[in-house]
Amino acid sequence: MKHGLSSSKILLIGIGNEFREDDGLGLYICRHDKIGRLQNLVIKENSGDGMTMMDAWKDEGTVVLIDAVRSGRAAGTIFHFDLLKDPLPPDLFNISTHNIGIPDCIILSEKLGLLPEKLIFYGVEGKNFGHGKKLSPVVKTAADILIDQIFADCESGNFRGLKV
Amino acid sequence: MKNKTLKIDILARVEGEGGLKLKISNGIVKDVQLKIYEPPRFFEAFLRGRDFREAPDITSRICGICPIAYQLGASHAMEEICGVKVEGQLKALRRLIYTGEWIESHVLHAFMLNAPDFFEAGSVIQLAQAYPEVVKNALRMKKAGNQIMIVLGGREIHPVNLRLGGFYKVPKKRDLSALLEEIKWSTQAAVDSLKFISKFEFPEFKQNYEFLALSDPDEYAILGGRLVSNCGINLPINEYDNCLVEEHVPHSTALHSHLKGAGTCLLGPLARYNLNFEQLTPLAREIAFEAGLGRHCYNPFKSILVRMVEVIYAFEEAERIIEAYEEPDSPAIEVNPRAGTGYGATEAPRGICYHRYTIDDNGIIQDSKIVAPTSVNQSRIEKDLWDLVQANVGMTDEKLKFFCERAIRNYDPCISCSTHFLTMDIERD
Repeated sequence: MKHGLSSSKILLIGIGNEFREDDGLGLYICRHDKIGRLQNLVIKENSGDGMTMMDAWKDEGTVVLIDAVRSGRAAGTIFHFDLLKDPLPPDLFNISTHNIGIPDCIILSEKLGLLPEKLIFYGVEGKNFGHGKKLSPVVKTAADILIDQIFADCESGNFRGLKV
Repeated sequence: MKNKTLKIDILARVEGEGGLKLKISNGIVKDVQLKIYEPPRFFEAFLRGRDFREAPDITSRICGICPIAYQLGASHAMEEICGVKVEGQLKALRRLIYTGEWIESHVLHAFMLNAPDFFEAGSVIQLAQAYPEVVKNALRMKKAGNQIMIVLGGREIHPVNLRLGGFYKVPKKRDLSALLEEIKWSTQAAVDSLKFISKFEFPEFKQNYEFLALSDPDEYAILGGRLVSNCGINLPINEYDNCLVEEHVPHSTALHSHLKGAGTCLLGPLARYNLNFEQLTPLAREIAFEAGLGRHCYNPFKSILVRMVEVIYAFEEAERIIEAYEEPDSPAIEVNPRAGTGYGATEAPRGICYHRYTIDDNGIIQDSKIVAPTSVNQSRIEKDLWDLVQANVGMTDEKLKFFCERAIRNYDPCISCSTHFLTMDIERD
């Protein structure tokens, strides 16, 4: 049994930069009122620094990551992975030059014995990553669908996910 | 006649995006180009017209690894213009947050980017598989550096609590004291890590460097000092522009900066170590010798050792500052604008980060110049690669490529800083 949060708590990490349009998806979702109503969540925001993320999840039970995706698929596509069961497709994220990205963090955590008991990923394919605080309409629509899904999954503890 | 051109299109495990092109003819190196193709970011241009108080926060966005170097370089320059000198506990707090930046940058580079080279491993993941405790300890040390940044700066990346004249809010003594236990653990972890790294096999390669660093009579220079070299330079920082000149080269979007009339020089940990060794703590000096570093080090492949010596120093310095901390009466000194030109330079993890600004009576920025350390080191890297390739020209292309990439990583180049790179906006329909 991990001992970071009480066993009933879920750590939700919203990843991104709120000033770069759709890159702010993870923050938009984790700041949403509906998500805030969940009693069993601890919410953290992360700018994309993989090592900070590893440190956040290392002693936890269930951890949910939310991030924008740049894979070339249609904007608004929703992704859901159980990261300890399904390897992330290698083309899902741009390679970060400054930081260790999510895929490497998972492998590194595995080698170091720092993985949480359950690691869930929700993402939306972004459209615009320029300057601005607004999500593009297609991504916002997907984000709102995803909020309902994350709310239901976190409330039930059954992360069944949704693919649109 | 046999000609060949080797190209490394994308350098891995460096900060930013660059490549390398080598031309070899009949076993003789004919050209070496460290290609930096990130687009310019125009920070100096868009600072013009902005309020002088904004410069620290704007320039900190040049780099997510060393924002403090930009915040404090800009602050020092503006404060000089306005006749303000930050001393006492506020200066100590600035030095403290800078130790946090050194720690997180040096540990990241040493273990995540550089150490895998010594095992011919592709990444830290293979290193973690072979030596999990070493990597775990590195992550914990980096976190200790991050914590210093968070307590003083509000967050570890692009801290928000620094301002002209000091800070928006200063920590309570107890906030800093809470860091001590981890800092003390980390000092020992850094000693152990340096001993571990000292067992690596280092290629024999020495260069006749002109080292350039800041020097302060009172301490191992971080926050400022005179510009000194081992070849006779000893100038105040406002003479920087008379000492180093920038030029554009066709193969790099980053300006190359070099000594006027004297060619290349090297900034960063090796330069600081060689020029300011006596001001390291006794423990850092002792462990440096134990690790096989002499009083002087001219082998860039051993820069990883020097970085860890500086990590030991940074942790000890952090402990010293926290132990001596008394909460100041005010978090900042008022800085009121007046027209003039000012200069600021600090020792970023990769070397001297230079700022110059001119503002008017209303504090509006009229002109600015920022030189990141990698801009100065670029031409030195090319010179070293030239000699390294020539000495190993018989290597297979594949081995030579790896060896060159590895050599480039010795300098921990921050290509993003030197080009002031910003990711291009992409809109897809």
